[in-house]
Amino acid sequence: VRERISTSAFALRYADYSLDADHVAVRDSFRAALSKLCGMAKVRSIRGGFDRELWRSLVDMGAVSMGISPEHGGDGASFLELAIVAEELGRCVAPVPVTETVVARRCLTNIADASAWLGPLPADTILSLTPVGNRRLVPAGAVADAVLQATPDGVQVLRGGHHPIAANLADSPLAWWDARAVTASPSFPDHAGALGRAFDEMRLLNAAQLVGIAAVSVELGANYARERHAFGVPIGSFQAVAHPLADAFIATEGARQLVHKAAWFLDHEPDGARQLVPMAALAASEAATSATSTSLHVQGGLGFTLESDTHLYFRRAKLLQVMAGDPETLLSSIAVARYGPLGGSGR
Amino acid sequence: MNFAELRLDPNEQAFRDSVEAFVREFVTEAVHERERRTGSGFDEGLHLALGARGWVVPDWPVERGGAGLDRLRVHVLENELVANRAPGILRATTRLTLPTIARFGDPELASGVLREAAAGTVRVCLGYTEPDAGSDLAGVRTRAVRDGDMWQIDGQKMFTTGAQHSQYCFMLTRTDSDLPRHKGLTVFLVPLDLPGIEIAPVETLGGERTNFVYLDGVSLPDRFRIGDVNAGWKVVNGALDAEHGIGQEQTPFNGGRALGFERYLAIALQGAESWAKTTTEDGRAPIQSATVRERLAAAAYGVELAAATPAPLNRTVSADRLVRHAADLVMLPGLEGLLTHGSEGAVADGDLEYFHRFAQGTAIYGGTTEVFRNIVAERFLGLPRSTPKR
Repeated sequence: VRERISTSAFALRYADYSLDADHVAVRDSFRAALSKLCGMAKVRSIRGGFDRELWRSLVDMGAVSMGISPEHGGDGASFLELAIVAEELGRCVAPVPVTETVVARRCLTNIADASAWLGPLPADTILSLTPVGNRRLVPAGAVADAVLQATPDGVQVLRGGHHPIAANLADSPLAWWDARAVTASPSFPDHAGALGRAFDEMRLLNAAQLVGIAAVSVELGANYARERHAFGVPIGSFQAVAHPLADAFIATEGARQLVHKAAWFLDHEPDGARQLVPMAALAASEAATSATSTSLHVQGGLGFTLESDTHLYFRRAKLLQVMAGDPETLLSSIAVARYGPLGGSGR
Repeated sequence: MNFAELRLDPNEQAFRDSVEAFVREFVTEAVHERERRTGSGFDEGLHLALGARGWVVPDWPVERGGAGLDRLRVHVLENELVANRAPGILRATTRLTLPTIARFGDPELASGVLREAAAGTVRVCLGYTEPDAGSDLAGVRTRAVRDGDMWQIDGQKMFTTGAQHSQYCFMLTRTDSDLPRHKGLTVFLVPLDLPGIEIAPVETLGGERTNFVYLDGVSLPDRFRIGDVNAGWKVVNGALDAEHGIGQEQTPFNGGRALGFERYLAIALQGAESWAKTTTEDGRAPIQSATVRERLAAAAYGVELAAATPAPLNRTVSADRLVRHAADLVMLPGLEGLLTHGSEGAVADGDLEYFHRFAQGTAIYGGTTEVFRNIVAERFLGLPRSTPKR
């Protein structure tokens, strides 16, 4: 007799991916604001991957405080709403460290000692986070006021020092921080695992940005394929051009909904998010690879020049993919969530 | 947005219990055994039992032969049927055609067909594809020629799955060869017991039986015509869109998609996981290998990604993921993975080799994934059509 099907694919759950009116309002207001504040001409004019004027505008809009709980002076938005904003930031390759900062600030609210050591932070303070190690290449490190770092037994806070941008593929403000060469707090215990959760949140917000990057890349490629004629017809009428664009589009739509689902689980059932976060990161990473590469190559020689906006998306995609996690690492995380740690009984 | 567990009230729970009891009674091992042998995708006892409860068309009102179920109960029912692999191809094809028959058919014919279809005594198969026209459906050649109040139909249809258990075939025919291809087509609801009809089986790699249907001088009264003469393209489009998940109703339970092919991948994955967790002769379980774990994880990811992809896009992803991961899962156990159901030592009762074969059809029937990419490119990306307009 066949084993009864017990897989979670048949669990009786809601499967409602629709955005509520509040979510749509958040998305639309950030999209409208970013279209004014962060057009492509602006992005192209920025050197060093950071636009302080845009940063201050977004801080004023509540892009950071929305992610903080009301008892810590924030607006208490759901994590899903942060993911929705992150996708909008990805759509315009916004040169601002919103996701690093919001994730680090959320983490600080759960580690009171670290928060007290830092003291009150101005609203436009820039924070980042980094794993255990002496010398680390830190996202937004060239502009960060402080960095949360994992230690073998908790969390420490780093601040001070001079951190010039480390020239990189994405012109992102990556910089080296050496815990021995800056002011470092004592290591504070992190009983609630707040930093681990912060890295998960960072992974998912990077995935959300990748969805935005993928979506715009598909649009750029499709626009070109409609207009560019070769052999007397628009090149979009060739299936060798159209089908990869269709695949990239399908991958992007699926990745967006999987990111939203993982975000919902982080908000409501964090245990369930353990496998969904790496799955969403994998989906967004695959969608972005497919979309940026297809878009670039559909545009042929033009896509390879710096005239096309595509290279900005192509560059940022790889940065975020590396930050979201290598595919093998993500598969391994999914396996740990489903089957326990390697070397366990696996039952 | 909501993914919480369903909390059923006592009435809903009683309904769920009744569905589980129904499945125990009617989706038996004997049904599965017969299905493995015949591949017909249909079990008459089960289908009539569904009909007796109004569950062929569970969302229809009771007075029309349905069960008047709300969306939650429909979800509970469909979920349980798929999870228990209840054969249901003709339930699906019949339901795809009913709204079109109701809208375009002769009222008296339609009312009888709808009533009997709801009861399960009438089944309808799809007569679209021909040896020379499948993806390019407007190329059908089966001819219908008018003679007063009668039509004579000659030609052949193929992949008319379930014809051997159907009373009618929802058939696309050519009624005017002089008009542009899309404009000379007409749909008929052809009774399959008419003289001149021969149904011949076609076996498939997936184990599913499908058919040729030969039509030789079949004489049919005009009242079996569905829609206007030469309006067949418009008539089939509603049923085709429904089959493709286009315009599908979003409910809080279905994720805006049909029960996609990822459900079959979930079943195959469960079989592979069950194998991987079993300790072998050397005292270890395969799940303790990093490679095995990550390949299972990749399939689990495929299930979630396809489930998260909305209709109609889900159709391509769920078929492609099933094809890809079923091919991978069947290799994990080595030779034992290739053993068929009933063979000594067969992994997961032969499910891994079965789903590897079954998967291939999901990327073909109902419109190939390649044709689907054309639809996505044109309807979602606004790209010009890639196929020649004739």
